[in-house]
Amino acid sequence: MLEVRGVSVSFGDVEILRDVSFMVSDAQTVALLGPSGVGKSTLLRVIAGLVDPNTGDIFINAKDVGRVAPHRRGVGLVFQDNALLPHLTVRSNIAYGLRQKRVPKRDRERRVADLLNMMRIEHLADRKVDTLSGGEAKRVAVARTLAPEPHVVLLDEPLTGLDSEIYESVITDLTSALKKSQASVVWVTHNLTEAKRVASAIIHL
Amino acid sequence: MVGISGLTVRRFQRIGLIAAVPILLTVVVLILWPATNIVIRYFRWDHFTSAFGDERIQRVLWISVTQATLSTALAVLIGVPLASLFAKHQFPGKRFASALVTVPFVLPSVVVAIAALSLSGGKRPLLTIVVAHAFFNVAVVVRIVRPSIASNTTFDNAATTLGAGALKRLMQIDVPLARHSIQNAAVVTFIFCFTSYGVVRIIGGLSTTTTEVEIYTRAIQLGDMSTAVALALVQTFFLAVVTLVFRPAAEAFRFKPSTTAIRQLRPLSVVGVWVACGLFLVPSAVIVLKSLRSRGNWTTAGWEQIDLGIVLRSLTFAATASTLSLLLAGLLMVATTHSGATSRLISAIASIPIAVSAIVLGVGIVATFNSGWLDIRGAMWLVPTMHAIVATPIAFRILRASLDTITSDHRAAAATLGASPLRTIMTVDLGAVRRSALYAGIVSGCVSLGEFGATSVLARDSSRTIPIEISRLLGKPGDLNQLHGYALATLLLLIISTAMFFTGRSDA
Amino acid sequence: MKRTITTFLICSGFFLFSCSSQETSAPTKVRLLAYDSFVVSEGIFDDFTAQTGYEVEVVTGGDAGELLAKASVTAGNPEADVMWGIDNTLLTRAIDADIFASYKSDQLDAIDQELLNLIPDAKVTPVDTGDVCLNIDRVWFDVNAVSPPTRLADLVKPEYSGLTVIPSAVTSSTGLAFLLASIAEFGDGWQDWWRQLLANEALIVDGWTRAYTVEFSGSSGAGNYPIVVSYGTSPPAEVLFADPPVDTPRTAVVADGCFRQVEFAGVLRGANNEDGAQALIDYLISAKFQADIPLNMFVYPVNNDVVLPKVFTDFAVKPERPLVISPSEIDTNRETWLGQWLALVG
Repeated sequence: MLEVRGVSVSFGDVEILRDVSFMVSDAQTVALLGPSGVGKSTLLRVIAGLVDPNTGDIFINAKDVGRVAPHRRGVGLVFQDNALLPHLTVRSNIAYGLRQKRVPKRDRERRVADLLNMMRIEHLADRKVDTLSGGEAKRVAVARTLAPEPHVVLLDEPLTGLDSEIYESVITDLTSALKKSQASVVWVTHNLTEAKRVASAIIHL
Repeated sequence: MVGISGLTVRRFQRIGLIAAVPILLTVVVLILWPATNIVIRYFRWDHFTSAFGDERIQRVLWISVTQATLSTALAVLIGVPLASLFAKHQFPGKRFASALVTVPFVLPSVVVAIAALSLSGGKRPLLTIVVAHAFFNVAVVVRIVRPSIASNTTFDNAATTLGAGALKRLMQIDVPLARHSIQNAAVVTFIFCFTSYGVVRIIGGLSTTTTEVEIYTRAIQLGDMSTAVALALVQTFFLAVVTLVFRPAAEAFRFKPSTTAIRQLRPLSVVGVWVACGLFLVPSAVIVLKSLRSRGNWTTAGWEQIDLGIVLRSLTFAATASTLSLLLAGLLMVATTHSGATSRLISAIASIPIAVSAIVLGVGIVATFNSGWLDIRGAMWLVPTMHAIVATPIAFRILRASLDTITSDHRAAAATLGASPLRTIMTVDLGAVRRSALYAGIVSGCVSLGEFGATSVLARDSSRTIPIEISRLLGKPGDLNQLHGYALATLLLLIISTAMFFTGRSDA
Repeated sequence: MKRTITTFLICSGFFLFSCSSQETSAPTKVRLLAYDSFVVSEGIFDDFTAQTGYEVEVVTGGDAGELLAKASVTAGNPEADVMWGIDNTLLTRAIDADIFASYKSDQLDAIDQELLNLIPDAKVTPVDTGDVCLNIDRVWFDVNAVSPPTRLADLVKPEYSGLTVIPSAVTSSTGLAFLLASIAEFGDGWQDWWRQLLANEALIVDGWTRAYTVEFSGSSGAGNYPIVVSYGTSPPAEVLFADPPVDTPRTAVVADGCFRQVEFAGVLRGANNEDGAQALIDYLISAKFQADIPLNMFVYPVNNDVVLPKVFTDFAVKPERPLVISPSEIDTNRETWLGQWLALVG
């Protein structure tokens, strides 16, 4: 469960977010909707612990995580440009979070295989990430984020820029994978139809 | 755009500072202390001021700047198109061609200078020096610029579809996008050319001499340490200004790795590239020929004289130096992961070794560490350690160039996946440079194999390296000595080309 | 593959560091500091070790000028016990820098008094001599039917225009010796002579290596200049190291106008092992060691008891009346002369 309580962020004189509050329960998806430049990405980074808010608190499973470093928060973030590690293969990218948690090799391999299967990218497992297409890279990024089983999953415009055919297949696999993960999901988009389709609640920023 | 939280930044900085400690210690103890010691002992204000009034010294400074600028310009002019070619195109013999271009950088300057002389016939010394320096440094430019062009090929492909010609694409896409790497490469090249000793001394003769040669002449030939120290100070100060003004810029524009990169080159262009890279073979061919021909006859007598002990020792030194410089360069990378005044300072301090006159340094070490447990003058590790210190800034820039593919988002992604700041550095930053680490290590090893200045002052009979032996042999009359010297030079050439060839493969 | 390389690098690193530990200070060794081109036969110090119990460690580092620069900054706390290779052009500077401790060997009988006279306060001991002389390419002069020069003054004649290559007096000790030869020969007229020499298209290069092995036509470099400044002992090397082998050298020495270089060895002040150092000086001038010098370093021994090798008596030249300037006069005037010379040629 994720709770955002009264978060405000400004960089210098520029106010990015003012007093944002909302809750996402387990296995729920909430869409953050709004035009570009309203601080949707910043809010995700605040939740992930990558940006400090000026005021406000973040609770994960009822615990205040304000002083918890990003790598201990259990928040997964799918970056808009995926941020796949260029020197690793698809498989190693997905396994990255599991390695950080020191998951034993056998369990790790099984989990990676499951995710490759779930996102239908088994055939890409040993590819270098810079040879992937946009849709393929997005599937890898989602698989990588879900691998360590985070309590909270944040998606930053995950489908922007994909053409319609690929869009359909990615959104289907993505929503079913998220459902299976039981995580609290925050889905950032500027597309109302998409928001309605994936989320049970919509927050306008 | 969006930064990282204060908590994490402080952790990264703390790790950076810890990593900086060994680097600072090495530089301070082995470079700054001995150099300062000599400066304090011999600095005379009146020598300092009178040096600038001296017409000869004014000319020396002028020539140093001119030749270094021209050499750098030529190296960039040849290097950037080559880098773009290697980054964007596939053609038969590419790996070989790219090794060819890299080899000269690590050849001992005595050998390059004599090859250049044999080709130019001793005419037009300034031009010969500039060409020899460019020949030396094209490798630096290609190596540093190539990765950033390679990561930007999406735009290039777009421009091709829009009908832009090769030259237009180079000038309007590759050059602007890779401009930070080009600047880095230019600074490194400029420093090498400015402090160049062997090439200038042998080719330049009397009229065309540069600061480092003049420092040698004053300190060693004339016993005038005070003027030598004054000149060395000016040289270091000037180079420090150059490096600070054009400091290594890592935070250039970041682009997503492209999806399709490599295009086939047309057959006609392939021939052109071969011819261009083949030119790099000419000086090497001169050396090979000189090792096999005497008085119009073919002979292997020079090769039969080779003492494998010296070759093995050189290789061991090179391996040690390369391990050590990789370690130092890696630490340096960690220390400068986060931009800020501290990281700039650390990076500046680590660049000091290339700006300090080798002669002043050599004399300084001998003068400083001369008693009790400090007496390290004869220690076996001194020579490879000095090699490592000389090679570290080069290794650092090679690593740094390939770090350009890593953005702050990659580090943030690692954090959200559970990696602590230390783990992030280990797996993301160091992970990303792993492949170029092999290359950086081999280049450092080759720098050690070819290093002459510091070795000549610090080496012992038991720590003579191949370049010292070459220079000794070429300094004696008799056909066999000459053949032997050139055979050793050829062997060095072979070792270095082989190393470059194999890194080229792992790099493909 | 990568892993193998890494392992190799690390292992070799450890290997090197682990064997770099310093020796203890109980003097069982004598350290001999010498220039890079110091070469002796394998085992030449075995007799010395047998007689004295001291092992000899040869420490090289740079040319004679570099050795002196390093020794000057460590005067009183030297890198070694004995230094080999200071010559008469550097002697006064070395003595002024106070790097040597006086030692007068009692075995100087076989050395010419004239050489011993060069040394103030028995600071050093002469160990070898060599002469910087013009060398010519005999074949070139035969083929072109020109008679070779016989003295320095000839070089400015029109028939020798564009034939001479000279190492710079500023960056080369050979070049400095040649400048001194011209000063000894022409006195106050030396600058005038150099002006004519340059007008006669002599080539000045940085050092001996380029002059002799690249520009000189008589060496393996087969350059364009048949007259070069080199040594009286260069022709024997052209026979001993010839490939293919030859009976007589292609080069010859012009016996007139040579400048004599005398090299010295001395006990360094503050030596760790002063007894060993003095014993080593005695050994360096012994007939046994002196006989080893000619064919290794191509200089003449100072010990008159030594029988010279045949190739020396046949092809080397040791002029009867070499040009000489006293060490102190050289030292006093070196900077002025070099400055004047630079102004002429630079």
